[in-house]
Amino acid sequence: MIVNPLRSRLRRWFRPPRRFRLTREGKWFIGATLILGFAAVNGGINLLFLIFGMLLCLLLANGFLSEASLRHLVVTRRLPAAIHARTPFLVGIAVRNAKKRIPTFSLEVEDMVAEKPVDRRCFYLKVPAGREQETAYRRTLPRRGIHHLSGLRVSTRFPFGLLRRSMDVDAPAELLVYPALLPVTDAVLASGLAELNDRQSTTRTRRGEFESLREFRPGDDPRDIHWRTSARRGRRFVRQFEGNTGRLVVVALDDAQPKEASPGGDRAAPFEAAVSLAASAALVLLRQGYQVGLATSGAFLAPGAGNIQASHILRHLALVEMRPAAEMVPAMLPAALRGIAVLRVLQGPQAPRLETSRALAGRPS
Amino acid sequence: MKFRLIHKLTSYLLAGTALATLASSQTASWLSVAVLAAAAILSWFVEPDTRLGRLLDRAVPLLNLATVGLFALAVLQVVRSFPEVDLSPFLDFVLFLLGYKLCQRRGNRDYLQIYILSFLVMLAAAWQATSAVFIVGFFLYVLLATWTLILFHLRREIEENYLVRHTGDASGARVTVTRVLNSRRVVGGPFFLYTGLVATLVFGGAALVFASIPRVGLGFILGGVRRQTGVAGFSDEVKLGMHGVLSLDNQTVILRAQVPRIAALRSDDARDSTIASLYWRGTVYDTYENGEWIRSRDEKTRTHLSLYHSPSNDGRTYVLSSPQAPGPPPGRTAAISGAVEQDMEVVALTHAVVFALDQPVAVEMPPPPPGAFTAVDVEARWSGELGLRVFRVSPFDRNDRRTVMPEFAGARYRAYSRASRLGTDGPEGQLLPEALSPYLRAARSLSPRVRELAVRLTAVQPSAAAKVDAVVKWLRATHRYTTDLKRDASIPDPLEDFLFHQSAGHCEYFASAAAMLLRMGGVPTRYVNGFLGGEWNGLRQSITVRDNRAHSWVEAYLGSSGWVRVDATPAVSRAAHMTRLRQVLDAVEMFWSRWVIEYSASQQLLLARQLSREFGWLQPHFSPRGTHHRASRTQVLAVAAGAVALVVVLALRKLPRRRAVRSGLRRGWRGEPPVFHVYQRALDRLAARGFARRPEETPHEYLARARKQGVASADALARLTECYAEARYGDIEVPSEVVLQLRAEAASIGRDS
Repeated sequence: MIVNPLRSRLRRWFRPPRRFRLTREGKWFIGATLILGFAAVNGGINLLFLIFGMLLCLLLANGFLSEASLRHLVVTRRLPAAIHARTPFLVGIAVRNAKKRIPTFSLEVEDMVAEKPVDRRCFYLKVPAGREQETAYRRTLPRRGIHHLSGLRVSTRFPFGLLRRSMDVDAPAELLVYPALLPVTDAVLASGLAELNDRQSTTRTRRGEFESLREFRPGDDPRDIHWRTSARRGRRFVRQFEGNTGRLVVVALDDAQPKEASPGGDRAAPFEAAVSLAASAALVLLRQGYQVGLATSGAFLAPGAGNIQASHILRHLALVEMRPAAEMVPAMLPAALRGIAVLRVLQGPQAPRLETSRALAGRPS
Repeated sequence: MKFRLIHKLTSYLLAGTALATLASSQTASWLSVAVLAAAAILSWFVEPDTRLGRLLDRAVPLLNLATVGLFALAVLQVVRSFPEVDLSPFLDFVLFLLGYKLCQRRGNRDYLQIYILSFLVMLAAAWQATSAVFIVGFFLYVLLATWTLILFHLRREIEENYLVRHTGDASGARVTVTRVLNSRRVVGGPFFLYTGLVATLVFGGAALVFASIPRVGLGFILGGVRRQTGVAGFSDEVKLGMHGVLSLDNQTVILRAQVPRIAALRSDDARDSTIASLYWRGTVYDTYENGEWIRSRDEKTRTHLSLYHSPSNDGRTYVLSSPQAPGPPPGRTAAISGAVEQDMEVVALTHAVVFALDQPVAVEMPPPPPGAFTAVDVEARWSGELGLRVFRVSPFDRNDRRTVMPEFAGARYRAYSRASRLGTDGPEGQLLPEALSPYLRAARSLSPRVRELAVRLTAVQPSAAAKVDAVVKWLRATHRYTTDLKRDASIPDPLEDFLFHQSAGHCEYFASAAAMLLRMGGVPTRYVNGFLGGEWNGLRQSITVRDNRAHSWVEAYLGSSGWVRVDATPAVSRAAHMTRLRQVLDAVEMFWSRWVIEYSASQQLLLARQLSREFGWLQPHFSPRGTHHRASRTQVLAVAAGAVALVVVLALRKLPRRRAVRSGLRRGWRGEPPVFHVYQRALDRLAARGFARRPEETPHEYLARARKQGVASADALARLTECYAEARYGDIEVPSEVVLQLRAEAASIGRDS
């Protein structure tokens, strides 16, 4: 428990405060400077010494100004509320120039994973003194789960582009990446779930009562966008409804480790596809007004509605892992939920599939 | 002002400053400079989307052809100039390229080339410049270069970063770039103020580097030589009617002299009148024929020098004497005793000669400064004339003066002279008649009527001095001074034309006429070229002599008085002192010449000593006992230990990173997972086949484009991209067997079956 902070502290202490890398132009510039210096010394031409001195001092000025650019900057990362695997999202990077008079020009900020920068960067042409500017870069994460961001690398080639000077800023962050979303509306409808629920449900409201407005998130139904508020505030807002308690469904995920690998040679691929399908189906059902629960071999989430339930389900699915020899989920249901609709998400060699059924008689939990 | 316009303006000003500095150094021809300036002004209006721009685009093949042709021509001209290599054709070519590039500004690369060409122009100016005007151009160049390079960098960053395609709509992105380039808020007054301050510091730093880099002079090893052209065309020969027309406009400084006796004069009027009557003797000629004065190089007229080494500073003193004169040559002390001392500075001349007040008796050359690889020395010529020659100094023997350098870049020496006055004994004593025979030779090109005139003027005179007086009086009575020369072509010899047909001429005519008439009257004479008078600079306490004070006179041999100066030219009054502004400018030029153009190791030492004295570093420390105090061993050890500790701490700070890099290398290429290498090699291969990944493209976007373009083995690229993306962004390690498989598959990517 002590090792990691200690290592991290040591690493921070030993990390060079600035990194330098000569650009191609910088290498040419230094080469030309050396040749000119040699010519001046060899020829004894005094005015060439003057020009040689100018080139040397321009190099020094490059270092001095780039250092001044990087000083007194406050860099912060702003992450979106929900991130899904294989879905692009924007990471906001805000830079505040705390200098009193001097603006910072030509700044680049890169996010870092395991001390290495990602391939996208944010560019700031000018951050005036005492002001903050924010921009974002687009990123896509291939897998669900927890991703760690170690820090931010702030670099500049200002003023002459001869040298790239950078500094690393500690900004550790954990990203919980939800499963990728798939287009599942038709599949869910085709599964006959609606029919089961029609028999079970006693209330006929399509949605609950209007509860509040919130900002749009990826995966929200565009029909819920409240256009008047969106127009007024410049960002998209959606309506939130009270839970509809009329319809209950449990999404049961097949999280058993397959005995044979898929044709692609990856044992995890069918499971990942099933997780994505489960998450997508759960979100669609929640949006359609269902109270949705989740069952895996290791855990059970009681049915619920609304965004909080969606977050719980997605969080659980983001972290779920394959289990060897797991029992089927319906058998683990509490007795109180006997007979409710179960949407089973099964792994398949080519693609996952959905099956609907009623919950069997549950064992006493 | 719009950002784009500011960048364009500073770029033009940079090129213009380099060009103006070049013009001030008189390196390039005025025609080349004027043509380029006109092209630069026109090019301002040539933009890619204008009619002129389109017209120029169509002419690009022709212009490229012309460029190649001009380059070939320049190479040919330079090759033909061997062994005296003349690089000016290359400079003309660079100027042409600069004009071409200014007209052909399409993108950042063109701007970069403009900056490189401007820099080359500035180098050419630095190579040749001798005037202090250079420093003004240089300061402006530093200022503009700082601004321009920053603006250029920002422009490139804007174009690279704002061209990112977040959508497939590329035209939308270009609008963004245009909008930013047209913004008025990117740079403003404070930007120019702060960066101007930085440029000033760069200029100061350049001066510091200039002053502090040791002038070790590697030239003797690698064949380099300090090059400088003669800036004053003081002629080595005299042709009546062709050379030597006095130009009052030529303000080039030839000499600067400090004469303690003149500086000691308290009255300005006395000083001015003294300076106006100073004759700075230079070249001497003994033979006249067909309107031309030449040197016969007769051994009887050879100047004889006796060399004395100074034991204190390795300086050399040359004492003039005549081998024909009876008795031993005078010693150094005897020669300079009572002589007028002059500290002379001769600037660059095409024909280097020792200038001194008339009748020089000795010349003292200082030793070459430490580290110098050339030295200036005196050489004996004829008729009392002394030349200056540049020698390469051997690092092994500083007295080895065998290698003569072709170019002369000015010299500093001390001369001693005696006034030549009638009735006083000359320094060389009585000469033998055979030594005087070359100075009595009459010209064959002159008709008998000249001799008749000479006899008529001198026959009745009792002495040589009276003959001189009669001839001078006759010339001044019958002729007047003018620079507006006229010539009767029917008379072959211009001197005869002057004597009998023209009533006016300038100093060369008067001197030639006096010399010939006196020779025909039996008085030995020789023709002297030099300068008359000068301008007193009160700031520097020195006399400045400019090219427009060139003058000719005659030296006549008058027996025991020796060689006496005879000036037959009617007096022409000129200003003897400078205006205040001119004094300042002259002082600046002087400072520039001494502390910049001729800055050397000895001046560095001098400067270092002066600074040390200013800061008290040179003050000797004495202990209470009065003995010299040195730093103790403990102090030295403490400083050394501190330095070592500092180095160790710095090294330790960097050690973990180096270790990390080393351990990373074991993992794979540049410390990165091996799949990165496989992916990068696939990208390199595709780029070599013309399908490069754009900077703004993600791996998946690139893959999609590859599929769309039908790149061979796109499926293999897809698998590789997937693994790369997972390793790169998901931090997922790709197993080694998968990497091997990907490497095998990647070999086929982009290769047509």
